[in-house]
This record gives sequence, structure tokens and C-alpha cells, in this order.
Amino acid sequence: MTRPPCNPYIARMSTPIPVTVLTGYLGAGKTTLLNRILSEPHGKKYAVIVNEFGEIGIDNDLVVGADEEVFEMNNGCICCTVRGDLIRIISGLMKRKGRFDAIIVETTGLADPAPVAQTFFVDEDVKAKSSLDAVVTVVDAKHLPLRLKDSKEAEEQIAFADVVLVNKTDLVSPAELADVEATIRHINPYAKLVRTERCSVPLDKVLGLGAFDLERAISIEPDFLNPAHGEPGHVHDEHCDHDHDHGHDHHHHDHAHDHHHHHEHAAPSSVHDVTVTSVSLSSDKPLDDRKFFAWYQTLLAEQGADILRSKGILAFKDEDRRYVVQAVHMMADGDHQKPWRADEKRTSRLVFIGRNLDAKALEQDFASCVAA
Amino acid sequence: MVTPLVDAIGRSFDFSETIVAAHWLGDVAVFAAGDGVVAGHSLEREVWKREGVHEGALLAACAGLGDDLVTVGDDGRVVSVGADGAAKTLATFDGAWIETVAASRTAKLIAVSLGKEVAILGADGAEKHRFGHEATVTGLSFEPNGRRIAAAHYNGVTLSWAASPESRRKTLTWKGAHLSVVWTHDAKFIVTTMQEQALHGWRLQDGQHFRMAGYPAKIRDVSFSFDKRWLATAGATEVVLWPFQSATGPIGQNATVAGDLGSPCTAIACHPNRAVLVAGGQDGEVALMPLGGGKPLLVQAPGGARITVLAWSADGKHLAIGAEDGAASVCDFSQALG
Repeated sequence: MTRPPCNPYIARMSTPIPVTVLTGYLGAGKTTLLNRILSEPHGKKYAVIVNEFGEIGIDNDLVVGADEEVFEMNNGCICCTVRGDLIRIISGLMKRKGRFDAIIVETTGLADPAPVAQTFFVDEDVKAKSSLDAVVTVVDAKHLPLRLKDSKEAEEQIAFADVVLVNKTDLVSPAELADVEATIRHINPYAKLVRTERCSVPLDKVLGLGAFDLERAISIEPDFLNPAHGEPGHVHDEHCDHDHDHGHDHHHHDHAHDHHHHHEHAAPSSVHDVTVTSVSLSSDKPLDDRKFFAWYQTLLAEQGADILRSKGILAFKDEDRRYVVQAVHMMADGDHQKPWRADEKRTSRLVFIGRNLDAKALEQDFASCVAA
Repeated sequence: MVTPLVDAIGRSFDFSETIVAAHWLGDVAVFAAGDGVVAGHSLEREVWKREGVHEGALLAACAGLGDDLVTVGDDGRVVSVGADGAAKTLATFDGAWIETVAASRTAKLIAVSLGKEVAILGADGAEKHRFGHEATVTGLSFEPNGRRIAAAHYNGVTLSWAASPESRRKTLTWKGAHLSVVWTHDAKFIVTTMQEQALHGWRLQDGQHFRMAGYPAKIRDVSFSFDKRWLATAGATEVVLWPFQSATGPIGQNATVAGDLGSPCTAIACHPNRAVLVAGGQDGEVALMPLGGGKPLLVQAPGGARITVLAWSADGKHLAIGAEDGAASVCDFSQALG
């Protein structure tokens, strides 16, 4: 009479649907990218949540209109905002027959990406049934300097990004492009930069990245927290010692190879109209987990409004597994992941992207988390 | 080893998607699943099954004005499904995702949410009124006498007169996202469940309000006891009961606990005429608990998907159980509670 203990539905339901958040200022090219995603013969079934009313089915896909209803959570956390409409729409989509391969959420040009990202930390149902895949920000290479001048959102959208599509590269000179990319790097040295014209980009550069997936983030890209050589925030470690493929010239670089509480951070903004910076911390000595969590949690509680994103891979004393942590403002998520390899240097790294970051204080506090 | 009651007095079957609602129409339990499949089950067998009642997702359902279940969905349709399985579209709102529905048999009215708007429909589905709210309406509930409709939304609950919604509306405010709303039987209190894992209540007479917090999980369901003295709530492994017997309701009172589940409670249904309730959990467990505490009886063993629906028949003899993965059961309690 009763159901068999092994229910095939459980396995199916436990695979969360990846959600890509697509941000970008008005006119940057989000719609072009969306149209590309929907029209390419990828054989996948997508649900796209756009910031307009109405619902259109395009072949296999579904386009749903949302109204960007941002809820402040009345839970004592001042910067905790979520997208109420997203909670309802995602819960509704999950009831439909057949599953979507992915969900893409487009935000309005003026939107702060934080509420969308935080929705995936806060709501039980959204958390259980979907997972934030990546924040993809489309930037108009020609008009970015202007956007940064007149809106703080343009800057935040870059700060939140896992991938920045530098679009309309055909409309700028190589020098202008270099400037724009330097500005983006300055705001967020950890995002992948992809140059495009008319958002012509292979879909695997923007979908299915697993940027918020703690496990995949490190298995695909062991130095995901480490920007490329020559970029601000780059930490020289065993990866650069063994890999010179990206054109790095050892004769000309004069960075100190200080592997002892090494930290580097972007210099006080030399770039106009940019207030977001990043700080990167690292340590080769194992950390005391209790000291670390006490510090990190207090830090997020006190300065979470200014800290837009933080990510880290940590080596704790007497622990063979790496601990991977990430946060959006005050919302943090962390877990023990696969063990360190025997031949691998156990370097703890923690990066912050935000405003008013006190690099010196962060460095000192992080250093004090080293296990006795 | 305790044998779950469902093995002895129940019958189990599977739908392919989440059970959104169940309601007994006489001897037939009508189950509504998320993919738009609605089926009638007696204790012995599937009596009928209707596919495609909604084209996309069936998002909510409630007991209708007659011998029927009213379902709504993201296809913008309001459908009445009778005890015999006959489906009739009452109204269509093109392009709308209808996420919540309520009906009043006394007033012979149905209310549905259309984003920030609420439409009031007559028994035939004809639209009588439509009125807006400050935010998307996520929960609807008619006053027991059918005169007012309460709409839960971000930052509060708005009470409107069903016959003239634009006049003398009243919004009870409390910061945060309110998801669902219920009235006490005497319409003295209104209680909402919140995104913030708390309940919020108002005494209507003077607007005094109260917060019932401390839940570790989303409060997905609440149910008033047979004697209306207690509000039983999901959201914790303990089934928490709030007292509503005095003029001040739970203000200044402590909650009590009926019993524990092995995982957070996700569905709850008080028996219609006895001092017991059934509670279902995140792990698929269902237990029958005396309101006053005491040993719970295992109805369904844990190890399944989240229980989404528990529904007693009007006489309290039969129970319908539904889960997130589409697993469903009907149980005959006429002997066990006889």
C-alpha cells in the first residue's frame, strides 16, 4: 500500500535548475543577448524572466514578465533585500510539467543586482529548487565611462559580475577598449572579461558557468579567485610558477613574491567616477576556523552594506578539505569541499569587492586568523 | 517497528507533479497537481482523471461555491472542477498568472489575484469588481460571513468590502512580506504568514497587533482547531499551537506544542470535530497528534518528499495526503477515530 522507499522523483527534484542573472545598463545589449540565447539552435529549454508584463512562448522557451518587486526583509538585516516576484515566479515554474534546462533573469538597466542574488540565499524554495549560476553583466564599451559618471548602478553591476561582456567593441578604438577594460578590472578584477560585437558570444561563455557553485568554482578553475598576471589583485602562487602560457614575462615584472600573508589590492582609485574597489588577501599558514568565522561573520554584519561580494578558499588547521565561502552583502554561504592535493600548496585566499574597504585593517584581521 | 497507518487504512498513488491542493467532495478526494492534472479518488480507486485543466502550471485551488474545487493557474484561467470530474472555465484573464484564490459560500463569491489586483467573481464567473493594492497580492481570504476580503501583500493586509471594494478599505500595516492570511471564526483576529518565518496578527477591534516568531523554516500552512481555540502552525519540527480562546488572543500568551515531527512541519490540518490534528513534514512523514500533547500516531513514514497538502473530509472520517513529488494517499479514519 505504501510507496516504495526508493522514489525516482526525488533524484530528479534534487537537481536544481541553474539561474543566470543578466544585468547591464540600458542600451548595453541585454536584449540582443537574450534574443541570441532564445534563437540559437541549442536544443535547450529556457525560461526567461524579463522586466515587462506579459508572457510569450517562443518555441520551446518561455518568456515571463516580472515587475521587479524588491522586498526588504524585516529580519534585522538592513541590506537584506529580495525579489518577491522572483520567488513567486520560480516557485510557479517548478510546478509546470517538464523542467527547464535553465532560467535567465533579466534585470532593468537601473537595477541593483543584489536583491536578485540574495533571493537565492534567503528563500527556502528558491534555494532548494534552483541555484544561482552566474551574474553576467553586459557593458557598452563606447558608453561605459559616461554611465559610470551618472549612475552608481552601472558600477555595481560590474562589481557583482562573474562575467562581463564588453560589447560593441567595434565602436571603439583599441586604446579606448584598453581603458574601458582597465576600468572594469579596477572595479572587479575577478570577473571574466569577454569582448563581443553585437553580443555575439558562444553561449557556454555565459550559461552553465557554475560561478556560485562552490564545488565547481574550484574544480574547473583552481585559481578562480586569482586574476590574471598583470591585473590588479593578482596573487603569485604555484599556478603562475608552473604556467607561463598567458604571456607573462618574468624578466619585466617586479612584484615581490611574498607568500607570507600576501595581499595586494587596487590602489586608491585612479579611475574617474569609480568608488568600488577590491581587496585580495592570502595566507600560506593554516587558519583557525573559529577565529576566522568570528571575524568574517562580524565583518559582514558590520560592513555588509559596503561589501558587495566576497569569495574565498580557505585552508583550516587540522582540516584536509578546503573550505569555500562566498557572500553577497551580508548573506554568506560556505562549505567544506574536496581535499587539498598532497602536492598542492595550501594557500588561503579571500577577496572582497566593495566600497570603503580598509585594506590594511582587513589584512591585519585576516592575519590574526592564522592558527596558533 | 511501528507500522504507518497508511499501510493499514490507506491507499497510495502517484501524480507526476507537485500536489497543489486536495479537497473532499463527498466520498471523493479531488487532488489538483501542478501540471494541471486534476483527479478524483475514492478510498478504493481513481474515480476520474482530467488532464490539462490548466495549460501551464496549476498554481492554487480552493473549495468552490458548490460541489466543486476551483483551480487557478498561470494560464490566467479560473476553472471549476466538479465532484464528477466535469471541468468548467469560469473566467479567463489573458496574460495573468493567477497565484491565489478564495471562495465564500455564504456570499457566493470567488476572489482571485491578478498581480496587484484582486477580481471578485460571481458564482457564474462574471467579474463584479476589480481593485488594486500597493503590492502583489499573495494571499486571499474571505471573512467567515463573506462580507470582507483580506488580501495579504508586502507590508501588510488590506481588508475590502466584497460588495463595494473601493469604499472604506483598511490596510493593516506591518513591515515585511506577508504571504497568506486567515481570519478567526469570529472575525476578531486576522493572522498572516510571512516570508520572514513569522506570523503576524491583528485584533480588528482596536488594531492591536502581535508577532509570533521564532520559526526555523517557512510557515507553509496553518489550521484552526475544531473548537477554534487554537491556531496550529507549520514551520518548525514542533507543531506550535497559539491560543485564540480569550479576547486578547495570543497577545501576551505562550504557545504550546502538540508534538514533534522528525523534520520541519510543512502541512497541517486540524480534525473538523475532534481534538486531534495531522501534521506533515519536509521528509514526507505524516503524524496524527492529540492537541493536548500525548503520543503521536505515525500515519506515513518519513523518507519521501515534502508534504504539501493534508485535507480532512467534512465529517473527519477520511484524510487526503499530497506531496511535492506527486505522491498522494487517501486514508479511512472512520474506525481509528470512530
